[in-house]
Amino acid sequence: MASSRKGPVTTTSDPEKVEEPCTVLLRAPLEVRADDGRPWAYRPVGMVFVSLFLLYHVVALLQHTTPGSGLAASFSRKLGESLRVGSYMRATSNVQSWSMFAPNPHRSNMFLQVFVELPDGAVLDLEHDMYGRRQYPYVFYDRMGKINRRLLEQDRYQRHYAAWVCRDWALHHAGEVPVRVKYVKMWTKVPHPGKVIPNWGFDPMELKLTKEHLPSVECSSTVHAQVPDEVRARHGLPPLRPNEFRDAVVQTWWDKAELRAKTIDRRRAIDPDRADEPAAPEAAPVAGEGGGD
Amino acid sequence: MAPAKAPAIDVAAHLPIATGVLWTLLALALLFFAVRPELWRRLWFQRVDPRPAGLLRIVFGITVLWTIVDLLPLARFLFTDEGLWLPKMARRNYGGDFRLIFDPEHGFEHWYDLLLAFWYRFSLFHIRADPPFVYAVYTATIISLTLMIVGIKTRVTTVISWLLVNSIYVYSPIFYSGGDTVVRVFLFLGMLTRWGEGYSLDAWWRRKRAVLAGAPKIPPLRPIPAWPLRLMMLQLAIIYCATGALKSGHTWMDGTALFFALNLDHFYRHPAQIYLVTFMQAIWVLPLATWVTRIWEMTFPLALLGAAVNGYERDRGAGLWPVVPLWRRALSWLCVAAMLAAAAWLAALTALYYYDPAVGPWRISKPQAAAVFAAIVVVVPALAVGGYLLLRRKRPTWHRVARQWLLGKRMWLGVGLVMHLGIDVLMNVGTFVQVMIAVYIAWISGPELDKIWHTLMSRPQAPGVGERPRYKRRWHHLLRAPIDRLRYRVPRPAYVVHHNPGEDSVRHAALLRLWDLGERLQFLADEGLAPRRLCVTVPGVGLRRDADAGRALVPVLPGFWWMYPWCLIPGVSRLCGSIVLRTFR
Repeated sequence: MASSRKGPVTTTSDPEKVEEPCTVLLRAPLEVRADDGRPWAYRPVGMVFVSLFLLYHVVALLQHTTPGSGLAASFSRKLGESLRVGSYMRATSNVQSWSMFAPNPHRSNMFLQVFVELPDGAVLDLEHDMYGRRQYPYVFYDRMGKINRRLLEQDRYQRHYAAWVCRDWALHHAGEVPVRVKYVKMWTKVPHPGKVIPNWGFDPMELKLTKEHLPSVECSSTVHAQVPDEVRARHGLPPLRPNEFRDAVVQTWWDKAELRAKTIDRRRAIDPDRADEPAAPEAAPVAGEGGGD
Repeated sequence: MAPAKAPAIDVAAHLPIATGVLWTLLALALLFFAVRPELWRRLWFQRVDPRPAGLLRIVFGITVLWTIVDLLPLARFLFTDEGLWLPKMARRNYGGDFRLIFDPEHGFEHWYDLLLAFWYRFSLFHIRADPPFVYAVYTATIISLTLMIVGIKTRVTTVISWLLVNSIYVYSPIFYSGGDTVVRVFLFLGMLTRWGEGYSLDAWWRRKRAVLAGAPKIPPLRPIPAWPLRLMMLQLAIIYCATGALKSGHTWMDGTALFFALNLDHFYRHPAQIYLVTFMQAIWVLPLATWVTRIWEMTFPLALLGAAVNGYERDRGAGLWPVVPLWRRALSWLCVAAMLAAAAWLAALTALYYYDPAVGPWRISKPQAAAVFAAIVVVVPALAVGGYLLLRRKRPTWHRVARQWLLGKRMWLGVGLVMHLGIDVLMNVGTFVQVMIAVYIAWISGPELDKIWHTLMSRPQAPGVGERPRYKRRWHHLLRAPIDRLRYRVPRPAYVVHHNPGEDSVRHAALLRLWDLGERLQFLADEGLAPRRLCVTVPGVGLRRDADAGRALVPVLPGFWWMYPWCLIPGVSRLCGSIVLRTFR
């Protein structure tokens, strides 16, 4: 900064003393204005295309989020099928369900204890449930607590979770495979306010804890409960014996093509003149569309 | 049409005609806009100020980034082949038809199957899920989201962010919470929004180039199409209305729902709050909050109606509302009347099937309930329109109050804000609260955002000074103080930026205006200053030069507020000041 000062000129209060561009740059209000001056966002053709998309999206969204039962059942189903709403919502990741605390909030705290039973008969609690374990104040969101609860709310996850427990145990114990994974459901009931208001509250650790055994999951016979060779190699473990890995069945386009080719070959071998006939009906793909919110 | 969790009632006798009526309703809605295309245009194709969308991008983007980073410690468990799912199982269960078109050994059958993959549920982790790959995708997601937030190549980085975030979400839904669903659906809408036109580095660089290249004035911001923001408003209304309608259980009726929700081990912040919650239940605060929450959620679509009515009144007042021939207006009103009649018929039919006098609000028979519900569907809108027109004509003050509060954003979003902040204080529900509040920004207009910046950058007037009243009674003063402090405000003293009077220096100084959202800066030409150098007179402090000048500007330039904590560290403070000044060189 120079030391000699010749008296400042306030461009904001004395525009006469400065050049016009400076005044405009420093004083003119900032604007929001379209270069083309059009009132609407698009030209007519653009408006038509965007309108079609908007119509589709809004109708699909309403069909997807409004109840599709009762008197609306037929309408909702036909609309959904004709517009392929389900596919659209999945493709755009717009699948949504807003049943938070609905129709009632849970009135019990549910936890799933997870045990492994080892070949020597020992049973170990893996401490995956959060009953009495959470640190307070509860500041950072605990997804594992959420997942533990979800295993009880949607029990289709239990087998997959157990398969992971088997694999994870093997990975961290030099390939040793547990015998099975055992589950114990635990829950406490939140008392009705009418019961606790006279005492001005309650201690959640004093509530009666109820337990119930759930079906165990065997590590040797459950699909994907064994560490696959690819992962074993990564961790320096020897490969599995033949047929030890229980794989999931998924029929891809390649499997279908192979099946078709084999069918044709088999038919040709029996009666070459009938090779042009259509192949035998293919096995239906394994249903497994799970998920949801 | 049936209430959630309704018992299985055979409606087969009326199903065909109900279906026909519902198709008719849809056709009437389409006919309405076919008759009044100018309303459709105004609804979706207006051009709006890009700044609220820009702010939404930043706040929502930070929440998405927070959510994704929060998942990082579980990434190995949730997304790699050493975690919960082997890719084949995840593909089979959650990949939709993608599992059929992709073979892990042979890839896709046709090149165009890659396009189909996007139509089916598809995650990059369904193809490959070894830890290095998963962490690489995760890093790319974080980088892409960061670029989207700061607004670099915003359109591209938003699309990439959407694809990568979806790769994380689509792999398996076991960890989903309500917040994750909000993130997914609004990020899709964000991808359709030109939210890089405001508060982005893209816009800054464009305008900076123009100013330094000799533009006669600062280039205007380019307005953006309104429809993606309107879709966001609709989506928010659907979320609240759906969740309110689904809360049909008895705990929401008897006022104990919040008591139970707040006392669940999975949510409360600290067990000691159980005593506070019990006390609030005892003094009827929680039951009242339970009922208010449900009613507010179910009726939230009125906020959309309010936005439409206020838009109409604004345009009408400014003489911009389009005049259309009488026959088109009459036909459109006929459509509305027909829609109401169809809705009334459906309401009556629903009551005939589902109304249960034992649990319903009134002890009336089903046919009586059918008549009542049908009448409500017709009479309530008619009375509302009639009452509104009457207020506008006879009671302008009440009309203004109704527009600002009953139909105004301040009431609907204000209640939501209080509700969500209450939830966040007492419950840990992940980033649900943050993401819900973030998407409120889609409801704000440019001038409203301007007001918010000016309020943030101003200070409250003292009681008795200017227009702010002074109250005789102390309790009166205490009660009114929070509102009056917000209502009666004056600008804080300006920061004076000294610059060389040469044109080049003026152009560089003018760039500061693009970051000065609260208009706290004044400019002073000073011939004693070297070209392109700036110093700042801070009110009550004095002249600041060089890096100190840059540091002094941080509080008045919101784009640099993220630097504020760093400025408190002695050595780093000067570095921050230098960065600020370099931005404008």
